[in-house]
Amino acid sequence: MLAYSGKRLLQALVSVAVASVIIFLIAEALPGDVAQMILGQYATEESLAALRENLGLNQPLHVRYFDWLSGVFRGDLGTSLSKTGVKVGPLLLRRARNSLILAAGAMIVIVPVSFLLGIIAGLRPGSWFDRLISITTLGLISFPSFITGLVLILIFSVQLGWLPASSSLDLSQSFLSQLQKLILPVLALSGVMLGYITRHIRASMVKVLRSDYTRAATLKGVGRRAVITKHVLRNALLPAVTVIAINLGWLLGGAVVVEATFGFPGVARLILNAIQHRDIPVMEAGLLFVVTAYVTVNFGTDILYTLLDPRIRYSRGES
Amino acid sequence: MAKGSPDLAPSPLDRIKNGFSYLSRLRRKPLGFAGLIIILLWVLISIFAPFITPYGPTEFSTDKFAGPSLTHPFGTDRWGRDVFTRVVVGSRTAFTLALSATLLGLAGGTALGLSAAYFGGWIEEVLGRMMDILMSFPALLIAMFVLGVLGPGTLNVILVIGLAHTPRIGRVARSATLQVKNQEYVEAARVRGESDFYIMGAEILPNILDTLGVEAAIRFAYSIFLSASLGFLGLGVQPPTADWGLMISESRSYLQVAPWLAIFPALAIASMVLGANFLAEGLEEVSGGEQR
Repeated sequence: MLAYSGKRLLQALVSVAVASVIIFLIAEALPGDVAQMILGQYATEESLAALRENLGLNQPLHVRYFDWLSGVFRGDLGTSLSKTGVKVGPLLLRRARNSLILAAGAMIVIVPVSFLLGIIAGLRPGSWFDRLISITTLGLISFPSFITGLVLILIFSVQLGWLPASSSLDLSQSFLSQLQKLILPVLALSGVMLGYITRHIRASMVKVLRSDYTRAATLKGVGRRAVITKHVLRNALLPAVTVIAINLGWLLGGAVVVEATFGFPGVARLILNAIQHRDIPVMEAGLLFVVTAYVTVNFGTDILYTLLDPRIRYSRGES
Repeated sequence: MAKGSPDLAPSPLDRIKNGFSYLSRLRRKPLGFAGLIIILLWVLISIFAPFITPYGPTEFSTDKFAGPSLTHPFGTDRWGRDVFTRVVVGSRTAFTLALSATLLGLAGGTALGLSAAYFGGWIEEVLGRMMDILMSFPALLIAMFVLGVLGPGTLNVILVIGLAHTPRIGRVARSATLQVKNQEYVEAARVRGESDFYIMGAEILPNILDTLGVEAAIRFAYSIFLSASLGFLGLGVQPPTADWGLMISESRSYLQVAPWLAIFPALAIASMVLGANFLAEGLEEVSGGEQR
């Protein structure tokens, strides 16, 4: 178990390291000259050259990469190019916190609802409830979140006027007023994943219900209730852990559409704006954050999964 | 699994018969059949687009922000362009993007997945690792990067979505190949001394087509989904092209005064993705998903 965790941790670290190189190279490949961007198009050739020297842009690629990386480790992510003088570190922290709040909100909606619907539908495959769930969830995964978001805005903001359409989160305000701003983005973000995870849980319930060990337990004379709670649920819900974790990463990066729809100040929109404005320090920091979060979640899931499922623990312990 | 007797590869005639029985069985799956009808309707609409649109897609008029009426069934936008025309012509943009991206991903994914499973060993290991890495990032995030570097535009959107599909289709192609690669007809071809290339193309590929077909329908739906999202973010097809995602993005400032600008393109996207997903579900049931 310990050996496995160690190996898995090393793998995670390597992934982040590789990703950091790729992010740096992509930032390098972006068209446009940083010095020109800072000084504007009327800058003289001399001032441009001086700034390039100053920023270290004349250094070779690997030197600049390690400069950047050591900055990351010291917690110095540089200053934004498009918002003059703004430190990237605190900006990123603020945005990341907002994104985490949004993702957590979506999880609070998704996990209980999808488990409940998936289990009920999976227990009676082919019933009218199962068919209803099947069609509804297909619908949910078919609507991109900006469409769900716009429909919600049209109904709850434009028509009813109950909830705000844009959500510039401000945590110094009262909790309740901020909660109001979160409701629509959370719902819009939940849609696709809710459908996806419900379908997953339903399918794995059906599979386990038809398995030999479920049949064996039933034939042994175990009551249906006990079969379901002791054998079926445990085995059917385990895979769901992985699916949810994979989607947690998606919630952080894929939230860009929802953030754009509601003007939500999250990390994904920060990256999008940075790419559009060629704000390289912000872009690099934002991407590195998302990748690290993603890899961390995956690592945590693998470890959790091993703890929960003895079969994997033993098979991995031996190899 | 392959149909027909397990030790013989199906003849071309069998395959054509199989194709027909496939479609006729789809008719008994209400969901899948509904999906087929929706997609066929959109195909007809996009083919006959020039004949059913009363205006040009970029034709301006002085009739701005007009609500739905007889002259403008879906209303007009801030330049006075006819929204009905733009939704109809937008189906061509959607098909162009989604079909090309799906085919690209299908070609790349099948080539990688099939050869990974066929050769096994270190080739499978290396290809598998590459696909895992590519797949471990949200497709939209990869698309955002690549379009940031390459710049937006139709061709780049197709490339990026095709790239995002490749590892996912690759995984499906790999597991389908693993199921048939030890069948006796593959063994027989090997004994006959056929080349690896021939065996992969003529013996294995035809027998994983039904699995790939289901996957293609799912990827087509996701292509529409992704390209609409990219259009919405301003990273996709550029104005003044009639693109559904772009139209919705442009409508956002006018939701209060002109909600029809958002509603009709949204219905178009939703119906096309839903149709493709229904179709995928039906195809999966027909091609032996029932046992699962």
